[in-house]
Amino acid sequence: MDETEKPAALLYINRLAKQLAPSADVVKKTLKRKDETVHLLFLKSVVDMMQLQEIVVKPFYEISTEYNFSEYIQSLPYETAMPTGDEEVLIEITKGNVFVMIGKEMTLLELKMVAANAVQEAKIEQTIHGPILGLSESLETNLNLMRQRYHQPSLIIETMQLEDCSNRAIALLYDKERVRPGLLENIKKRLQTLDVELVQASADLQYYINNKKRSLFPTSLLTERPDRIIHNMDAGKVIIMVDGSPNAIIAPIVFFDLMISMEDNYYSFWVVKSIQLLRYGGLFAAIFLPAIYIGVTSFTPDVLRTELALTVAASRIGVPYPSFAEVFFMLIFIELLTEASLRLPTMVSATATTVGGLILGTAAVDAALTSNIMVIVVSLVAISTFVIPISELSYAVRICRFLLLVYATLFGLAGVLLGLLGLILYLANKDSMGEPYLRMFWQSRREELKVEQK
Amino acid sequence: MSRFIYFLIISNMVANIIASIPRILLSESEDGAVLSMILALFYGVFAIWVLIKCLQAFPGKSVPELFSLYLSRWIGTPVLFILGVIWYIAGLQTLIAYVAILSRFLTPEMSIYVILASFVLILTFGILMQSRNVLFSLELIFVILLPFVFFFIMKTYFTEQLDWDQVRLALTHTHKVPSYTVFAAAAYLFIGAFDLVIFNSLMKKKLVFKWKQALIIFLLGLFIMTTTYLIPIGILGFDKIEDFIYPWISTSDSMRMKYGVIERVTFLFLLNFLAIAFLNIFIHWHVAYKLFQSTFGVDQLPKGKRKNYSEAIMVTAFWTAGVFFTVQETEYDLFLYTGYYFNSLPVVFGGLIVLLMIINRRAKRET
Amino acid sequence: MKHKSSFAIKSFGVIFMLGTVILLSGCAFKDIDKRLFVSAIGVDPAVNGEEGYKVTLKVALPFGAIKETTKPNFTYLSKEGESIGEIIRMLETHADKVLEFGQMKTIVIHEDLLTDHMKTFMDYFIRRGDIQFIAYVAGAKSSAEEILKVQPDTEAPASVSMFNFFGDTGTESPYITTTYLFQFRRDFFTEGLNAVLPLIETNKDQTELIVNKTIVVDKKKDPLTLDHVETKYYNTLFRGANGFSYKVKNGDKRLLLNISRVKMNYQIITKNNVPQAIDMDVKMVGVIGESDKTLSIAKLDEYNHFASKEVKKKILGLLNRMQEHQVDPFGFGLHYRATHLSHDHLAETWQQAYPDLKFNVNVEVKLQSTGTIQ
Repeated sequence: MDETEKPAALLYINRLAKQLAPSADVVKKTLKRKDETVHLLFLKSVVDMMQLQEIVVKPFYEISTEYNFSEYIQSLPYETAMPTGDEEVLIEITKGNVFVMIGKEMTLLELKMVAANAVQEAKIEQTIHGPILGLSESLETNLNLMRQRYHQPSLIIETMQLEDCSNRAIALLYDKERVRPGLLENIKKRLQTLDVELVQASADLQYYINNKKRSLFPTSLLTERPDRIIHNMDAGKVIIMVDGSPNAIIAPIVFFDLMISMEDNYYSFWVVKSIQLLRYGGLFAAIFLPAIYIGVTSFTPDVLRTELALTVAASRIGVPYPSFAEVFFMLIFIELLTEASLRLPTMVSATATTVGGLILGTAAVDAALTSNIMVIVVSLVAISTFVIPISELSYAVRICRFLLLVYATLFGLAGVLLGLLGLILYLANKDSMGEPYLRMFWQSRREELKVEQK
Repeated sequence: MSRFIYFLIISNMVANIIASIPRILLSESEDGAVLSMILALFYGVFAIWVLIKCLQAFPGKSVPELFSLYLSRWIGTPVLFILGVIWYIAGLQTLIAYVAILSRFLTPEMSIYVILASFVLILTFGILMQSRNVLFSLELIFVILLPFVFFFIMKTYFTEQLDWDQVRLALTHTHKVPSYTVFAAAAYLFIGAFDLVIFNSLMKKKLVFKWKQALIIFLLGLFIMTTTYLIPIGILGFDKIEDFIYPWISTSDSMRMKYGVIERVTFLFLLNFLAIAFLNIFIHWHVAYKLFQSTFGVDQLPKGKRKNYSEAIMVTAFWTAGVFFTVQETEYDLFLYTGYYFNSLPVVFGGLIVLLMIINRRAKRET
Repeated sequence: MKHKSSFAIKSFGVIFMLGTVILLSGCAFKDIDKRLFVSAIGVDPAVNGEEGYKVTLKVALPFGAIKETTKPNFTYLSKEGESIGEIIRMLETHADKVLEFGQMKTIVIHEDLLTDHMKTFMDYFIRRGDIQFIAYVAGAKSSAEEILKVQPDTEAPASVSMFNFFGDTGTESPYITTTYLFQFRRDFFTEGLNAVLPLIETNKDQTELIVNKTIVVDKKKDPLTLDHVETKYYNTLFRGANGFSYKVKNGDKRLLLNISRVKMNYQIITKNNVPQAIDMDVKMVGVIGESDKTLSIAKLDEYNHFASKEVKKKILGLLNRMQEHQVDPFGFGLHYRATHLSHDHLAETWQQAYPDLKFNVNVEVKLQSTGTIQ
């Protein structure tokens, strides 16, 4: 061994150790045997000690002198590529790599220990059929899950590192034969130019990826279901996973993706079609019902049949406020109720909804603060909102509803319709990473995009 | 042929069922309306055929682009300006008619300014959209609405109160001398295809127009024309039909859905056709906007403040003129001026087609 | 650039919306409980003064719990004046809420007014955009006001029984003619066709509405009333009504026929384009509904024969009576116009020929069974 090299190498490892200090979990170990010395540097909080013992320490003392220990280390499958620059090496160490130095040979061994790698149950997007388990909080486990479900050599996993202060690993997953050209570059560029302080989980990364700061409808989607991920990857989309987050981001998302529940893949054709019809009906009701109520009762009651007109008029007797104020109050009340029951533990939320919905509703009608037709409308709206399978969309819908309400109050029934057209135009003009957000497909989506690419 | 061309044609045909066209057709019902319509049907299909033949050589090129490539600026710019005005009026006449209809039938107490205001925001957004997305939204709205339109039209045919003797009576006037105004108005139904002057830039594939396409358009035109003309006669009667200002609204008000959620068909009809009229205005104005953009060279400007300002000025000009004419024009004026407007159209489009043929020859010579 | 312009649009939008909110104050927004739904209009000749009308509005009142009330609630507004529009404008000052005509479904007109000058007052209903074109028009015997004020015992709350008579929503009967406003206008103005209206009457106690007669309206002559038998024939032959039942007598036998299907065809026979006669073919299919004697299935042919003869007599009677009065509710004239290439004297030719036309009616009754018993 070259004696002159030794101090330089030692100096290097000391420098690294110094930068990590004074953290309590820094371990700098030197293994010595005869004339061989191995320096180890790692953080014991993230390294699997047992493995380290089995893989590095034990063989070092057991290996016979004829064999080169350094070659053994090099041949281990745990090795990760050695980055250039101190900073990068340190980041690797914080991720759970063990820095091994034999003479001037430096190696990084990935012997990380992840505490939260258990696969969690899918709670938000529940389905009756389909997989019960979702993703875990460990990126490796998640990648493993994906590979397990998608056996294609064309599945590409690219890992990157975020340029923020947490230096999380993120992975891009896509099927290289199906992904839309240009899309990948677009996403990568966006990820690289991300200028943020701290990314905690997929959710906030998603927020940053949506190019526009102020937007109502999401252009990427958060999911916890492996089947949804695979479904979308197969459709040529890119999946972004963040280490430590049990959700994956799917991009780009267009409007119709937000109306798909994973169960649609598990039922027979007509059942699915009817459920989808129901869902779109729910979407329509959730957005338009309050606006239509105002347009009809306060502008054009001629639309109603005589009997119904009389019933509605009768139900409003004694209500002191104009219909739009009534609708606004009731809708805000229902929004409060929804928000409240979301935040409360499941046991209590049932009570809250009962008290709020049933008792307050009846009392409000009895006190002539609102008409009972209004109560029907508002509850119908609330129920319809829950039919929407993706919560991001249902939030957007809840806001749209109020915008339309304003339009209906100003312009009546024609205003409702023009509002609807405006909404469609807005969505059609919206752009989700180069793809129109709302458009029709006559053939399958893939075919049509292919034609357009030409 | 791309499906969007059919959408453009159909949306224009359907939108004009309610606006000023039926009134013009029916005003000559005791004279040569029927024969003029038959002539217009052939003329319309022929005009679309020539247009598509001319544009076939230039997939992905809009007419302003062709003008700047093959024509001198002294000819191109004024022609573009005239075309812009034509398209602007096309949208405007539908807008005026529809504002009047809304204030007459749906919300009689509402002021005309408020009704106009309901259009302003959304139409402005629509005008400024990307052309590609204009087509997508056209398709989407269209596919949602078309079943309803079809339902209404079929319902009119099968109404008990439709008096076929009245319809037959209308057809006994076939031998009368055709009138140019009716011919021009009926030919206007086919103008949707001419939106291609702008949208051709999105038609990357070569357009095909053979017998099959011609037949489809012919049948569509025939169906819409007979419906537009004969159904109001069958329901409202042949004698004194010319008294109706909006014959189709009155026709729809004469229909009843005994077990429908809404008994009076007219409300569904009004709202449905409002959406289609909106599409029509929005597409015509989008085309007009693009044409004006190339007339004044706004599309050549680099992105930045100047471009934004000139766009804002153009939209403001659109609306100033729009509000002015909507408020000023009486229904009689509308009837009269749209008559003049329609009369001028066959000439203007004849001219456009001649220009396109010249461009075609120049392009061939160059290659 | 895109961001900027969209921001410009947004801020423009906000300003614009605020502007409209200010404009809106006192505009078309009117809550449903601030409206009064007029459900029917009655027009009578003025009692005081020679010219003019008396208009009665039947206004439906909404009230509290519909399920718990048993009687419908109406109020009536009436006033005299020179023109309908004027009277309605004045009536608007008699109520605290807006009169809403969108639900107005019946126009009842005093029978004396059903002559030429009804053009002037019908004009108001047609011209007004918010009055339904599918409102029913009916004549009233004695007075329209009286008819409107009848509250039949069968009337349910929050509904108007007058609507149920027409348009096949409630009762369906071949005695009831339904005429919509648009239909009335069309027929009234059409050369070669007379408009036909149902006639509403009431009983002495004013507890029932009775609709089984029709009135034929002509521009130049006084209206002609068809009795209930004629009405029945008119409706079955020309309006496609079902449920025709007819009593025939042959010697000592009395039969009641329930006719389920009626098919009528006619042809105008012309000579040198001048109408000479009308050939009418009527086919009826049905069963025997009531008899005072025992019947035999084998003898169905015989019954067919004499039923045909009786029906033919009645139809001829109806046609001849109309011809005598020179009215044409059937639209023979229109049919003549529609089947000949138009020229200026077509209508005149018809008018001259109509009084002398010959009717050849051919009736074929086909009885399928004698009912459940012989």
